Amino acid sequence: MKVLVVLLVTLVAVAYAAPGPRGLFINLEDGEICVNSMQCKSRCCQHDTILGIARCTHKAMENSECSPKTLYGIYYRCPCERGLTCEGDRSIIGAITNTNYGVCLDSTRSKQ
Amino acid sequence: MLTLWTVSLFLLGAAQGKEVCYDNLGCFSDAEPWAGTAIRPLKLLPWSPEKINTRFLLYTNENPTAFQTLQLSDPLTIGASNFQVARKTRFIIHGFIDKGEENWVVDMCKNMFQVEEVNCICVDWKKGSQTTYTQAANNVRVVGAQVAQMIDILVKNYSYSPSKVHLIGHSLGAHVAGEAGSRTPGLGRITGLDPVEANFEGTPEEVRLDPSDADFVDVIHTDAAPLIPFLGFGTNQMSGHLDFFPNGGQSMPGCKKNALSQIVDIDGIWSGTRDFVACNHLRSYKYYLESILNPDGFAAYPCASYKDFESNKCFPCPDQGCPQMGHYADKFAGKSGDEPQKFFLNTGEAKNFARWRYRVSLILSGRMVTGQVKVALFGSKGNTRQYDIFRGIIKPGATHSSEFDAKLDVGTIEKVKFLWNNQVINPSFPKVGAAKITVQKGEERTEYNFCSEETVREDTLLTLLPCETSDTV
Repeated sequence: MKVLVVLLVTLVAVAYAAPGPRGLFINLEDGEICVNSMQCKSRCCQHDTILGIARCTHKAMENSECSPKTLYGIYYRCPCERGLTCEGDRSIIGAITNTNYGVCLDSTRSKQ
Repeated sequence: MLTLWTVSLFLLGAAQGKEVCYDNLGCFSDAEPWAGTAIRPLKLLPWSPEKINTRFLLYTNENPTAFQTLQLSDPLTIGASNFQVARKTRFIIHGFIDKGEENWVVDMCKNMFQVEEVNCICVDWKKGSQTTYTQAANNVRVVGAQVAQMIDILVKNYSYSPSKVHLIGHSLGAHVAGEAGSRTPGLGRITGLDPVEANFEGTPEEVRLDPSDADFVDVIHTDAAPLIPFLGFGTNQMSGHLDFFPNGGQSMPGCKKNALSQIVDIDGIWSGTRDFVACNHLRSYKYYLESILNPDGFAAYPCASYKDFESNKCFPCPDQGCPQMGHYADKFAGKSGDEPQKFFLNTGEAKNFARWRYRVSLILSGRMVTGQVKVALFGSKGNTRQYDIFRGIIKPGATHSSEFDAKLDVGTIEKVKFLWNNQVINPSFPKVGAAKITVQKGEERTEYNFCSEETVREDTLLTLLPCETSDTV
C-alpha cells in the first residue's frame, strides 16, 4: 500500500516538477536537492556522505565547522559567511577528499 | 384523499430524517446542522463503533514503547494497565487517512515522557478515517463520543478529574476532540492542530471545535489558505481561546521546495510523500512535537495580522508576556480572556523549528555607499549567523531597524558584529561603520547598547562592544 502510494505520488511529482518555473536546477532554496553550489541561492551544496543526497544549506557561521572553497562545488561542511575565514589544518589528501575541515573565525580577530 | 395522506406521510418521513443510536453513545441524526446544509450537503450517518473499531493505546513512562490497550467495554483493562490516577492524561487523536500508530503520534508520547510523567493515550480510529472524506467527517461524532465515554469511565470508576485531561487532535482529530469536549463538562484542555476546514468551517459550535469545548482551547493554524483554489486543508476560523498562526498560518517555510526535494525527505520517502501531499497541514503536529522539548522557543506575539507582525509592529511582548505556541500554551497568564486572541510567530524551515526573535537598531557612520548591512549577535550561550538588517543607500547618521528570528537563544548579549557589502567594485575602498547598535530580545524590555568609533572596509567584520557608561549619560 505504502509502496503504491509512493509510486503514484512520485509519478505525479515528476509530472508536476517538469514544467516548474524554477525547476530542479537553479536558484534553489535551502533544503532543496542540488549537485553543485552554483545552483543554490546560499552558494553551498552540502551532503553528509559521498553517496548521500546533497541539499542547499546556509553557509557556516562564526565558530562553527567549515571547509575552504573548492572547485568540487559540493561540500561536507559549508564554507564560511562573509568576513570569516576557515582556519584549520590543510593537507593534500584533505584537498583531494574534500575533508580539510576547520572553524570559521573572524579575519580581524587579532585586533581584539 | 388517499393522495393527500400519501403526500403527508412522505413529507413527515422526509422531515424527520434518519437517525442511528448506539449503546452508551446516544443518537446521531442526519438532520441540520450535521447534514443538509450548504457546508455539509451530503446526508450521511456515522458508522457504528464496531465498524470504526476505535482503539485506545496507552503509553506511560513505564511502557514508553509498547502500548497497552484500554477497552471501553471492559473498564478493568484500565485498572490492569499502567494508568496512573495521580498523573495527567493526554489523548492524541489523528486525522483523515492517518492512524494511531503513525510515527508522529507515538513520538508525541515519547517527547512528553522526557519532560513529565503522564498517561499518554493514542486514539486509533484508522478504520473510520481511511474512507471517503465526508464519511470520515461524520465518523468524527462517534469517535468523539467514545473518547468522552472513556473520560467518563475514568471519572466514575477512578474518581479522575476531567480537568486533568488534555485532548490533542490533528486535522479531523481536532474536531473529534471538540465533540468529546462538548460531551465532557469540566474538560481541562484541548489543543487543535490545524483543525480541518471542509465540512466544519462556518458550522455551528456544536459541530466543530470551539472555545466552549474545554476550560482552555488552543489552536495552531498552519494551512489556513482557502481550500479552493489553494488546497489549504486547515481552517482559518478562530476556534480557541488562543489561536496561533505561525508564519502567518497559511504557508510554512520549507514547504515550497520543488517536488523532488520535498519527497526525498531527510526522514525517508514515506515522510516525504506525506509532506508532498500536505506539507503545510502536517507542520502543525511537527511544531507541537518540538514545542514539548523547547519550553521557550515558540514565543508568539499578539498582533492584528501577520502583515503587522512582519512590519515589526508587534514587538516586544506586552506586559502580560507572550504565550508559547504548543505544549506550554496553558502557562500563559492571559489565556482566560473573554475575547479570542490571535498570535503570530515565525519558525524554521526544517527540523529544529524553534526560533528566538530579536530586534536590531543601528546608527551608521563612515562613508555613503550603496550596499547591504548585516549583523551577528554574540552572547553567553553562543552566537548567531549574519542577518540582513538593511539594503539600499548606506548614509552616515541614518538609523535602520529590523527584526529577525535566530536559531538559538544567545543568552546575555555580549557583543555584536557588523558587516557591509555590495556587488560592485569600490575603487576608493570606502569604509563604513556602525556608531551604535541597540539589540532587544522579544520577551524582554531590556535593550542592550553597543558602540564603536571604527569603520571597516567591505566584507570585514566590525566588533561592537557594550557602550561605556559615559556614553549613556
